[in-house]
Amino acid sequence: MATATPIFYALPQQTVLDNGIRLIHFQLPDTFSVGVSIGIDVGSADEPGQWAGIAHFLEHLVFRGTEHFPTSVVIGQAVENFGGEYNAFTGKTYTQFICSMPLPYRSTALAIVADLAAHPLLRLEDIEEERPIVLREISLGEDNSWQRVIRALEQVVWPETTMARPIIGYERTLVQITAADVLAFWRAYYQPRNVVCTIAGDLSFDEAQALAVAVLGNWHGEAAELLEPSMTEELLPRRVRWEEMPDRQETVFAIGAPTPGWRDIDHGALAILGALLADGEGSLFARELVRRSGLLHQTGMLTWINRDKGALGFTGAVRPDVLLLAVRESLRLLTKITSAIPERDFVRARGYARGEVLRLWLRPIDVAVQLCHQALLGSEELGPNKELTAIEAVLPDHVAAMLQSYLAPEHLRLAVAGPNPDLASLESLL
Amino acid sequence: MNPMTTLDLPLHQEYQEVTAPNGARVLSVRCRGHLATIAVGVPVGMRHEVSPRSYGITTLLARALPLGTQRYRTSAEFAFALESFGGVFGQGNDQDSTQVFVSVPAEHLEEGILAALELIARPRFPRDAVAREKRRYRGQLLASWAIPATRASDLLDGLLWGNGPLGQRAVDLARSILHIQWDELVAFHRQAYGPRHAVCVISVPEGLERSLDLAVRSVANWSGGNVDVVLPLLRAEARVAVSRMPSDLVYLLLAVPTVPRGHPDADALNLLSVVLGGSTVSRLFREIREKRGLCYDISCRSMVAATTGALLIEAGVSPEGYEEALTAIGGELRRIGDDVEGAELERARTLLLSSLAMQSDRPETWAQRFCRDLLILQRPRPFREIAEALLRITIEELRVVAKRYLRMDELRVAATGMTVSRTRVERARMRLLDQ
Repeated sequence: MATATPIFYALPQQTVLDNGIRLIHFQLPDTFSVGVSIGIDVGSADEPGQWAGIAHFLEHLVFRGTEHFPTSVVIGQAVENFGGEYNAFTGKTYTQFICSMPLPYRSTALAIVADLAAHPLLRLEDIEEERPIVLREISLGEDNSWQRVIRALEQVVWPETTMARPIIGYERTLVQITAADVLAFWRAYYQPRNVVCTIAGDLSFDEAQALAVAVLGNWHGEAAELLEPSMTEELLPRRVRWEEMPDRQETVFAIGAPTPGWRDIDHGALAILGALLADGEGSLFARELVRRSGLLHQTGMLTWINRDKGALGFTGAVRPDVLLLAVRESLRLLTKITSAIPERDFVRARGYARGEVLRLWLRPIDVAVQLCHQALLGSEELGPNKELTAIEAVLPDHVAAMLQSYLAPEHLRLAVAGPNPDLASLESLL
Repeated sequence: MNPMTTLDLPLHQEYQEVTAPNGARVLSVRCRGHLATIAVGVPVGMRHEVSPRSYGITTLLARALPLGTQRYRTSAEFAFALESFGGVFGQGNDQDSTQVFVSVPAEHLEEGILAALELIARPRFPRDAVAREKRRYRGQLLASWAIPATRASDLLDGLLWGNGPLGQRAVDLARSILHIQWDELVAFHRQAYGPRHAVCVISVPEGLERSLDLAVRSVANWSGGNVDVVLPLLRAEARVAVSRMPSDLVYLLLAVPTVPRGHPDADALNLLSVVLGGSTVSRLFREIREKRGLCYDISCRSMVAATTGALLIEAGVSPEGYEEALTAIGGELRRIGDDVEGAELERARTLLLSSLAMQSDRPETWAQRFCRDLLILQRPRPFREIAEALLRITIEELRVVAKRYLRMDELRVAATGMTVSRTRVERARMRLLDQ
């Protein structure tokens, strides 16, 4: 019988600054570092089609220089001279700029990420110098079978929508994006009203608020029209998509289905469903398809819940000659667990999901990222307590209902990356 | 003055150590949070694979540990037992050691310690499960050989460590593990995995003494494993390895052999690796990515093991620009011994110390670090000692160490990609030697 972990986290505190920036704070006692994140409510799904990849390109470009840190070297030195680490990432519906630093240098950490978002220089030479680097990143993705299968699955679960577009965009669009385009995109979206700032570490809410006001208080937005997301690429609905990688000795596949967006999902049930199916060594696919039958080299869950749309699925890596059998067996097991969830499996999955929450909400930078993620996607209640409470409230029937609803056979889609598969047979399995 | 000297670095670490009657060393260290981590290791790794017929056995053995134990008969039973209360586990091996780790909510410490020791001391090696795991391992080896980036890494290992166990290519290991019989695996475990040189490190938020007690009691009935194996390090003569294969980029990996862990130059080499390629203002990042636009990412790290070490540089570069990248990287390696500056040294120091301090916010950091220290150095190397060693190094010492190890005649180059040519790589390397 699993024992419940007591809920002992502090609650996140939040406020809205005068300029519309939403500030969220989480106190983590006895930590050395502070984690800060500036999140912008824009991602690749918001792009006009002819600018596919611009959100990610902009994320790169801000690091080339800002008003107070005019070159990439100055930015890097500003962070690294105080032992900090920084990064950024672009998603389908938001972009985050993050920095982790020893706590005494928290104002430097926030000042840097704020300047990246609020005052990038976006010079012509920055665009021309950074463009080949992003093109190299595209090439890197082409060599990676996991990235290729993710790209393929996005196209089959979200066809005919901008969600299906790869976040990095396409070479054909990236080579045409101009400095004026980038500036227009930045003006449209990088406004205080679209910004969430999170600060996590061993500091009080009052300290965090004072810091945020001092650093972000003078960021005044302009009225700018949002751009209309659009598609120029043709991504017609289909059930199976194959990324050709003829020389590989392993095929990666992903089976998934569309889901509702963030606000309409039972996140507790979702966490348990993931642990039930493919997260952890005791999950159904790990023990049956990896260990017992040896069909899969590895397996895992895909849980992509975005602002308005989501997707849920699982992955497998196999020898190319057993792909058909592996997919058939995966679907058979999915059908079996959908009809009945053994109590033992449910208890294990719930414990696993709980453990994942405990592990995630530990380091200041991870906490800052996660809070920003929750806020930008539309959570009403933030923090780990909410996640733990949601997990505790789940019954096996909730998970079963989720399986029957989201992973019903008629919703399933398949993506494959590897050597030449038997596509016709794979289609017939679905 | 280095910013780290004015900060309240977590230099004071509370830990306790004891040696169990059977020789196992047990250490408990305080961490923050509400999770406990248990890391158990034995000093048996790839360099203990004595004959070519047994190449791959330590990795196969490590992978077979969780397939079932005396207490948890199958991998599923083991996983269920741990994961039901939020625990996770893993295992791995390297040149020198095999380690298992278990992470549990702190209130389940005793179960976590028992589970970790079950894995390493009392595996059952169910025949069918081991056979399947062997096939899975083989499949993954063949898959990795077909990936340009991982093949380049394999080729580099061969250039560094010769044709011995450390330099085996994945495609060769995939053949050799077929010969490993179940009896051999079990016998190897019985001979080599014993408490005499084993280490158990526990990080807990509280109750250091209790943790030690629990661990000592848990290891008490672990016996066996009295084989000490010492192998000579094989030298490799070749300096270049190239493989043409379909790829969007050319994967360029460079290395020079350096020193093992605990060597007086090891810390300086760590600093050099940061100056060269450990940050966004590092020399290689600025030159190869920012200035020349030849790659998306380039990195440098210092690898130190019990008997070996290397400075490793890795980049995925444009297919047309790999010669230029190779020449530019070599140029940076040549000149750093002459012109590395004080500001670079300070920044590298700050980054290493700060990074370690920030990693201390994770409960598993010091369990894993101390476990590795005890296995290789036979003692823990605490934060204070690391900080003092890094802060002592002068710019003059850094330049001397750079010139001592970053020599073009010792430079190994491995490259994979569609456009890569052995002749051109050799030529670029020879030009570096001639300069």
